[in-house]
Amino acid sequence: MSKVIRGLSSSAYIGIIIIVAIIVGAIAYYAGTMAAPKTVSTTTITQTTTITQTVTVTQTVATTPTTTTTPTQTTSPSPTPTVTVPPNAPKKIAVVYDIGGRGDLSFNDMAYLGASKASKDFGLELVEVQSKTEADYLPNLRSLARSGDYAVIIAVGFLMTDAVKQVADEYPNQLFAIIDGYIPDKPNVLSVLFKEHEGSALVGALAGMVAHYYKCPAVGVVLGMEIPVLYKFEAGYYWGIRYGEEVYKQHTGEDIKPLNILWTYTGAFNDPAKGKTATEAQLAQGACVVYNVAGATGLGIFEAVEEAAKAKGRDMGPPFAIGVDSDQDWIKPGFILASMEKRVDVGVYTAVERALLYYAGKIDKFGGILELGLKEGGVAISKVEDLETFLAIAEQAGKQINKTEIIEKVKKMRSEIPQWIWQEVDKLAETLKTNPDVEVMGLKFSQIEKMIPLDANEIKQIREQLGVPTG
Amino acid sequence: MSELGMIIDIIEGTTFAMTPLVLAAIGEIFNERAGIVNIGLEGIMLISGFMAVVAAEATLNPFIGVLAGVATGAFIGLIHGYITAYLKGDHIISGLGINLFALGGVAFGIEAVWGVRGYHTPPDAAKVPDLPVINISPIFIAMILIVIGTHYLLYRTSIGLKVRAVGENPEAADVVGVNVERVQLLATIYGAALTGLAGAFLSIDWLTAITKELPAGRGFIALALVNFANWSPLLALGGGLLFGFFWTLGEWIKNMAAVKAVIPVTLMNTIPYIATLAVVAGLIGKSRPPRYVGRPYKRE
Repeated sequence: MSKVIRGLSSSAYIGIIIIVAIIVGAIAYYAGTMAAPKTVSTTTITQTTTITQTVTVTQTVATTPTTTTTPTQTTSPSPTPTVTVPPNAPKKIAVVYDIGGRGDLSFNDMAYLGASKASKDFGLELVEVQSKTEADYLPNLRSLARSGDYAVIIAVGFLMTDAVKQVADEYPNQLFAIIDGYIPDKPNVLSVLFKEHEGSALVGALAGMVAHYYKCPAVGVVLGMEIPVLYKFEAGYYWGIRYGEEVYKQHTGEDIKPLNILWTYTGAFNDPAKGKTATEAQLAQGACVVYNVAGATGLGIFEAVEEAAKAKGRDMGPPFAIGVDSDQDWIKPGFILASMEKRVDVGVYTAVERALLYYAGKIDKFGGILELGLKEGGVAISKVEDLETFLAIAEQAGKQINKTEIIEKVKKMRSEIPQWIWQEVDKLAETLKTNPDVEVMGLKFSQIEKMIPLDANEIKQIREQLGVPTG
Repeated sequence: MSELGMIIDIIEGTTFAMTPLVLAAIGEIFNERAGIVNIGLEGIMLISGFMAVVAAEATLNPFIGVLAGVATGAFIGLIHGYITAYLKGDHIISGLGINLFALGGVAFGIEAVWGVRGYHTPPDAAKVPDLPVINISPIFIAMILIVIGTHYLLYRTSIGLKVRAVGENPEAADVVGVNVERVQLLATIYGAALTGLAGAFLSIDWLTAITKELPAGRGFIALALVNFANWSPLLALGGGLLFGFFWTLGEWIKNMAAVKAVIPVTLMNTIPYIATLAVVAGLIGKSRPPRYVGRPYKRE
């Protein structure tokens, strides 16, 4: 009997010790989590009163030299980051990828580049979270926000917009950034948008001029799922094509027949086989430049283009593909004319930097819209120098590549096309930075810009005006 | 491009689109006939596609790549067959395990082998060359032969009789001296090997690329095809042909201005599914699975 009691009491002792330990731990944990966000919450209140800060946003970006985000800068003389982590800021950042996930060749991989660069520069720990299905967005975001360990949670991708909206309301003290999503009215959410229409206009102009140079009747674009973000690519591309045609006409004095513009939504970002079939269809209808706006589906575009050229006994385009998001020129060297670089890395980096500035009290509003265009280095057309940077990344990652061979081939391909065409593309880039009122077929570029965000009817209208089959 | 050229292109496209579906479906029909359900087709395709690229790139010989794909499929079939036939495990759980393992394993494998996340494009020498004159893959021809061979095997040989008996009534088969477990294991290995061939076809024939979601749902479409085809190899060939044709046709006509004006793009993406469903459902009516499919057989 006494043995039982003794046994009970000793186990009770252990039980009490454990319970006390748990309670103490919980209190300590809560004290820790409550302390950090509290300072934030006060600033949140003050910041809701000052709403119109979007202009300052772009200014902060402009002061950030675009080169800071070039990932190989760690070895070359890099400008030391001006921002340091304030003591009140959590020491981690989180990146949540959408269902496409890492390895889409561009979008998410670029986000990773920007985040890892930011984590290195600012000494933050980077946590990556992959969403398997759309149902994962909410739980993923919630569990990150609940921990309170993260200076900013970056959601990569339009598809996460609603989830971010909801979780941002639930955790008003947690900072969020959404890449490609449009959430204008939350003080704790920064929406990072890209002026893809600007970059697409550049590659469109290039496609238009190159197609005429090779006497092709058509140019094409293969897109992924039909989501409004892609309308911007479409609109810019079509406008650029018509602009390029105009320039070609003036420069050569030839009487040219307007190009047929082919476009298709494959409905998938992950199916290269579908991209290949869609591209084969466009090539058969006379396209000799096909723009990839389809993530990993785009691998099939490159393949189709390469196969078509090789079937004609060429080891170089035409036909050509145009890469998207990251510099994809190296994937099939000689067959990818150029890439429309969407510097998601710049966007992610800027979002982290902005969060730190906010914690440090240097800016009093975190949320808003951050639009990165040609001017801010958020979009660009790929150059041979970019290629070297990207190949260095690939090499660093351990990929076996013949860097010089690839670069030689790309250079050779670029030299096949008259120099003036490349110059005209650069000229357009400069023009769009300063004077977006350039008009083609009665449509000013600034008009497209004003219509953004585009909806299904507006893109239809733009297609119609630029002589593209509507859908 | 002339009309004729376009038709030829669409036919060629169809042969590519249907091959992985039919191969995987035939394989699945065979093992389901023996009573083993394998929902891991998607995963097997993915892993085999990956292994095919690894082998083809290492040797610069696409046929070794194809063999590696088939062998990988067979090996996964061995595991699945052992778990389901001998250990009496749940067929769905084991298949699900294959799919989940493939998702993680291949994503990891790509990074481990090539140092790049998510995708890799092997050199041209690793690609299975098309047949001369027409742009058709030798694996397509092999697929046709496999369909005919499997059909013959299933309905005209004693092996086929054993396989079907095991799927319909394993107890009766057992009583007359058929080794139920062994038949099931071998059928599963055969089925998974064909699915492995489908994976290799995707990664080093149709495309020269491996991504972490390469099959993009084709494994599941093949599973559906098994039901549509009423567990008959020849009907699976027909169903695959239909699906492949409408899938290719859909991608082609989506580019045409006249079609765009009439049908919304989103609707057009559903054409292959609707067309296949309609035709196959109309032709076949009620389909009947093997009676003992998916149930672990335990001797009393």
